Amino acid sequence: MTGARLLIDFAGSDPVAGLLAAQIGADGTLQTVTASHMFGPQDTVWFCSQNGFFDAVDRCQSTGATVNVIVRRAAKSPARHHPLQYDLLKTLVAKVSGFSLRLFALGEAAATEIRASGLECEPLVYPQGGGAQTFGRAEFNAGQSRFRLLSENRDSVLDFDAINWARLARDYRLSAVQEDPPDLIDMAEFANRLPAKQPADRSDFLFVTPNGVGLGHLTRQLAIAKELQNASPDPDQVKIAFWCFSRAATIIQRAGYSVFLRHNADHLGADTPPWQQWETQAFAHHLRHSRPTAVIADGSRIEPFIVDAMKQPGCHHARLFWIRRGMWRADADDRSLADVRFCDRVLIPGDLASAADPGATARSNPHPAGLSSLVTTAPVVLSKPDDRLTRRAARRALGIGIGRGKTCLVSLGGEAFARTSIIHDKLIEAARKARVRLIWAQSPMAARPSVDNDNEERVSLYPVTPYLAAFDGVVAATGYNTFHELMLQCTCPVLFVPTTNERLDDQAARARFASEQGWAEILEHETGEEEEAKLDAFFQQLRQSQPVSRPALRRDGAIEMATEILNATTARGTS
Amino acid sequence: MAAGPNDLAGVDPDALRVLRRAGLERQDLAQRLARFEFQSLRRELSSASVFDLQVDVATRKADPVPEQAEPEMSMPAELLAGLPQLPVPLGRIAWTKRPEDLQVAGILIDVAGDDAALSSALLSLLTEHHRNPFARIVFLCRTLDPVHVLGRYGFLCHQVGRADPASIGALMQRRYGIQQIRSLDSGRKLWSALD
Amino acid sequence: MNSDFGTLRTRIVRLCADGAFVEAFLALEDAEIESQAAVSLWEYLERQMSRVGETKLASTVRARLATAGVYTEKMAIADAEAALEHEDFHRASLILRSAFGALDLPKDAARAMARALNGLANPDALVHLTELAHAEPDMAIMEIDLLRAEDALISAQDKSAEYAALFPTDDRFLVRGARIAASLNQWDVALDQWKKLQERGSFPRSTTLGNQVRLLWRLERKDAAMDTLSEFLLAGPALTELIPVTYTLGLGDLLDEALAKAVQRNPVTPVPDQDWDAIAQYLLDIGRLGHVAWLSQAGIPIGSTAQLALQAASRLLGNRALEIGSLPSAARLSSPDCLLPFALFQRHARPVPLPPKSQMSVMLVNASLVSGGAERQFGMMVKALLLQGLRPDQIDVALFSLSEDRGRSHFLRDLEELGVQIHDLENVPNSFLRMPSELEDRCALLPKPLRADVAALYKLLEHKRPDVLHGWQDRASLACGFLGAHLGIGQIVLSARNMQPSRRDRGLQQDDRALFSALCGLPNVKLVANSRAGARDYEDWLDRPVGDVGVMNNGLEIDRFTKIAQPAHNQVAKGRRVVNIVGVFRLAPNKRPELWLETVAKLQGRSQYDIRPRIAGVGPLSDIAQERAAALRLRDFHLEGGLVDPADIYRDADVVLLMSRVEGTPNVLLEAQALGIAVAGCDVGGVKEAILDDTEAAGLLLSEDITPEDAAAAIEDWLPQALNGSRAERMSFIANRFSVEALGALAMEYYGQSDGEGAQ
Repeated sequence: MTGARLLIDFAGSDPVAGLLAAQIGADGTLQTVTASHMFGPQDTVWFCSQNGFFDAVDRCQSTGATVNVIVRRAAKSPARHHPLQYDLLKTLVAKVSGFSLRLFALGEAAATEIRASGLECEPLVYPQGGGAQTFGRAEFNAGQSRFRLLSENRDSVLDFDAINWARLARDYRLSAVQEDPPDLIDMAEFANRLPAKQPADRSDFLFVTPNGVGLGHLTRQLAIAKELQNASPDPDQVKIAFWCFSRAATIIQRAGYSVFLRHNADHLGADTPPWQQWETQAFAHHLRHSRPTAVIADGSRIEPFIVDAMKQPGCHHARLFWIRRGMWRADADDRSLADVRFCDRVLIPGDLASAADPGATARSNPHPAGLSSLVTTAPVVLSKPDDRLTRRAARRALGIGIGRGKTCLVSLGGEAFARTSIIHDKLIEAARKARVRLIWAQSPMAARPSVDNDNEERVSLYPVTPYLAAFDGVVAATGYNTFHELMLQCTCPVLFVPTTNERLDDQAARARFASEQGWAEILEHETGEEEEAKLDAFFQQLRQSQPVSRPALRRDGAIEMATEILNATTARGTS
Repeated sequence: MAAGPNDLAGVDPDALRVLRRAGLERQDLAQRLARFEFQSLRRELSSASVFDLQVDVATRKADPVPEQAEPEMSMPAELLAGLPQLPVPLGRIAWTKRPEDLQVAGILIDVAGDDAALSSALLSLLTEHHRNPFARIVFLCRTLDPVHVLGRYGFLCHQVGRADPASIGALMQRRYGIQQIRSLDSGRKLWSALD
Repeated sequence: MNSDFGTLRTRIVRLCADGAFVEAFLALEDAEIESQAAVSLWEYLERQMSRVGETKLASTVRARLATAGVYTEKMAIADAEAALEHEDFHRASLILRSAFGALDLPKDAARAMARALNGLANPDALVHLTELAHAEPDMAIMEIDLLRAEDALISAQDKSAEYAALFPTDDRFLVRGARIAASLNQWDVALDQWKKLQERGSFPRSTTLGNQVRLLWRLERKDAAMDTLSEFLLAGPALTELIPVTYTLGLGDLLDEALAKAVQRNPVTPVPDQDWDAIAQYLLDIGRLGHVAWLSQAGIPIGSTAQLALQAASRLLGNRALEIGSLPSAARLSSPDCLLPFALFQRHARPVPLPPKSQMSVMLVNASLVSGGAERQFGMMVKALLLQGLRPDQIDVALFSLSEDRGRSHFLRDLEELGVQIHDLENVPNSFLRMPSELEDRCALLPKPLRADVAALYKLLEHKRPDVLHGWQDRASLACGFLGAHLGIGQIVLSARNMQPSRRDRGLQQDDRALFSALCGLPNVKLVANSRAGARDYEDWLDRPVGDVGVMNNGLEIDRFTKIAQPAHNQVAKGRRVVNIVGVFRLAPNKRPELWLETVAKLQGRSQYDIRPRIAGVGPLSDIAQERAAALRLRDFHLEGGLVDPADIYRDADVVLLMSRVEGTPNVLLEAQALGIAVAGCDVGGVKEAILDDTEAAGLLLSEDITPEDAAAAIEDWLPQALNGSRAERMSFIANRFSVEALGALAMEYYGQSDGEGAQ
């Protein structure tokens, strides 16, 4: 198609828009029509239905634009009112002026019916269409407006309006029966004859980083990004970018990746709907232009702007991956587990404490799987054993001296959730009694504290794991990353102080499990008396310098995730 | 003339007084919070190493100043015109009765490579902002270096890469209603919505 | 603490200049100055506040002034206008009356008083309005609207015409005229008015076109409607105009498309809030509850009425049901379907048992008493019950409207003469009776007109609690069924119209199938039709077993017709037997008057007889019928409206010809045969059952979609037999099957007063 702009007009959840964009091979010039668009002689405007044309016909008059209308057959049975639309279209065709109008049908059968009503139209099917190899069948359930997805190892359902149908047609053959409404039959024919997807000639990955309070999501994503790079014969050619809501975006840039710094509604003080509109359009625009092969989101849900953007025409190229940690609290709202239906893969970073998982993520997901399949990998950690410094080198690098005194790292998690104010004094007292030096780990994202206490030594670096050998013990919160990096990569005594006011993460369950396995001690919020005794006991253990036996890092979850992503984004998508 | 029909009209003056007092107390608390935040920011910006991050994650070399970092910069005007304007926060170090009455201004952070100069320039600007809020500020950053500091205090930062002020201005005007962009370094007006 | 007056004054002026009116008010309030001394300051403050629209504070200040004995006429008008702004019409009228008295008000005051009284629907407003109207178009408009509210539509129409001439550039009068004409079913007149407005060019083109489309659709002028619809779309109509037009024409997909686009674009090109309010209410009126919920979820300001309806829906259906993610899924939540099925007997253990005949009470409900066959049969039904031995005090008749101007009281006198109690539901006396809250919630979700009908009927029904509730025709049946089911009425009989709604009214979009079906599922509800064909048609539509829908044939007062029956005339003209072909029907599209005229024209052209056509009837197509007859050069054609006496209607008729597209059991064919006249009709509905067949005196059954040529040929072939057939045989056929006595007996069976199952 020629023209300065290629415009598609469609209402909300009309699947034809997505299919059309895939059919006409829309590139970055594609735009979706808004009220602000004034059509001009250089424009080609596609209306995905005659109703869209009816609604906008006054705007087409005398513009000189090329207007293409896809005439649709009846969407509901019985279709007694449908011929009226053909009559109206015929009347309008005779009256309009000042622009070029062409009518199309979705398939041969549709074209025949429409021509019989007296309208000239041509079928809109790709001449050599249907070359895509599919791996399953998507059967219509028109009454419930959903698909039944069937393949060798899948029998699942997916609502019609859940995703862009061009994504579905990549892997599934849409299957209509005679009793289905004519419009559905036509859409199936159209979808099944889309041009085959060309294999990606490059790797282009887009991570979406939520605004977590700590650095957990980002850390996991950096670990995976690193392995995606390493898996390529030419790592510098791998395009990796982050759509980042976290203030820790600088860290990403330091890692060498592109960052799109974003803001959520809270950052702006905005109501969610207008913010979501911007974010959806911006994301969709980026997807259309850059065509990443994968969108990789880490969080407790798939943000609506991602879902909405990927539904838009021209945004069907990427596969969607959800990195979703387990160990949700038992009382956590599990409705977001329904988001699996939007994803090609749900990647669960393994948790050493998964046997103690109390929440919804441990149980079978009650929501339909949709497109997705679930893969659980080994635990994902950023720092590897090879990254570790020796005790001497670590101490020197941290500037804490290389003497024989005992030191203990205190790392109590994101600033919003730290119980520092409660436990601070008790820790200091217990450490003083045991003659252990406390080194307070501070997130590089945190502000400098208001009072500089001479007795308090601080380190503010990221990641801290390579320097663990500098310490004789660690007091830490039990977030996923900290827990696994400690349990898999250090042998000194560890005291876990789980944060209990995290919204989703059941740190206490994780910590308790470690304690039961003998991997670590745990200090939960109990009576003051017990806390002091526990701290004393821990520091005694620390002074004894006995290594603690813990699981070994045998498999690398980050490598496994990267492999899954790479396999799924090659030309032969799996079902 | 009888006053009968009118004696139920209008408002209760006692209620008005109570509301006015509550409003004043709220105002006082907000101003104190802003002072506290400002003191924290001032302390931070007084250190030359405020923007230093001890981060060791480099996997490869990348351009810290990208060509373009805002996807919306390449969005067509009609698509942008179809989007609603978004608000800009005042930042936690300042208080004013009606922040929404303050215009939105862009400050281009173009003090590159010299953290001391940057923190000094920011301190000067933000001290003024604390004392007498003059705008709702959007910091337009060439790199991400200042973001983690400014973000802590509720300021809005955008990474604009090497984009020119006119392109930045057009986008930010649409998104936030920005009226002008000034340089942090020189204070000079780089772009105005009226031009 | 004494304040210096000058300092205070300066302060007040400064505060007012800064817009700090609350501060100024409190400053004056707190300053210890006597009211009299402060009067000038209070007056100043009141002026400043009124100027900038601080009406609430200004009225407080006026109260202060009144306390000080300072209350001018200007202040009274200002207070009245403030009250009017808050729609406190009573307060406004009180203020004005106390300030100015009830009559001879100065103009400003009269204007405000007229608005206040109009807001109270007080006809006294007309006194003020009539005086002002000739000089002030706004007052003239108010006068017309008040007349409409009083249902004095003819007067309102006259006034519209008068003021349209007096204020020729003010489009509002033509608009009023058009709308009133449509209310009076003068569709061609209404069409004319809209065309005039369109030609003027000063009125929004899309509005005039949209109204024309709907009228043309009602007149079944499909091609013209399509043409005008296309012009309408090219005019870029507002959403508030587009939605009703698309709905009326059954273009639901276009309705959804326009709505989705408007929501998508609202942040940048917003639809005005009051428009969204109107759209939401319209969607509720057409039962699109899911659409309203979707709009609300999309952050659209749907207005308080719609919000209350959603709250009611939430209470009844749960919040989950209202979580509508997309417009396609919105279509799955519609009313009244979402309120079904009925709980068996609702909150009652079982329906109230029926008392013996001497003690039972019956309430019959119909929409109105317009001049039509169904309404005539309604009256016949009442007579039939009286003949069965019920006393007049055992029978209540309720009508949704008896508006005289709209012709809805045509049979009122006949009913009054029967002595039964008649209730005009449009004018029920006020009572404090409120529905139980759950029923109120359900009613809030009903589409119109069911919602209004149920509300109108509730008080009477709750008060009277009849043993038998009989709804006549679909509209009354649905209201009776819905309410009767909730109130545990003992026996509910629903008399359906001639055929299933989807076949009958092509313009009708409301799908009542689910509601009818749910009602049929209740053991105390019986659906009946007036012909076997109609009964089978309803069974088919509702997917009920054969025999489920009862049959209650029309009734005729045979004696009345026997008395006036005449022998056949034998008039001859120029050697040819004169044959009077009479049509007795309403000049409306479903009666197909054009087909009738074309058939008779063809017959005139080929017949051995001297065919003389006559139509007795009125309706929206009267003028068109005359024009068509002239165009066909129909000889000796007469169109007679307003005839009431059957002797006049059927005088000298040789054949009564009926070519309707829809019929139940057509009264005219029964009446004609009761007079011994031969009949011919198209095979629709119960026509076949109504016509004597299988004898020499048999009528003629024509196929439903017959052409004028074929019809003329068939009639011509049949005429010799028809003219010679036995008139007595026809009369006897009717007397046996369609008597009022037979009707009454069947009705009592359906009312549960005998063991019989009734006719099937």
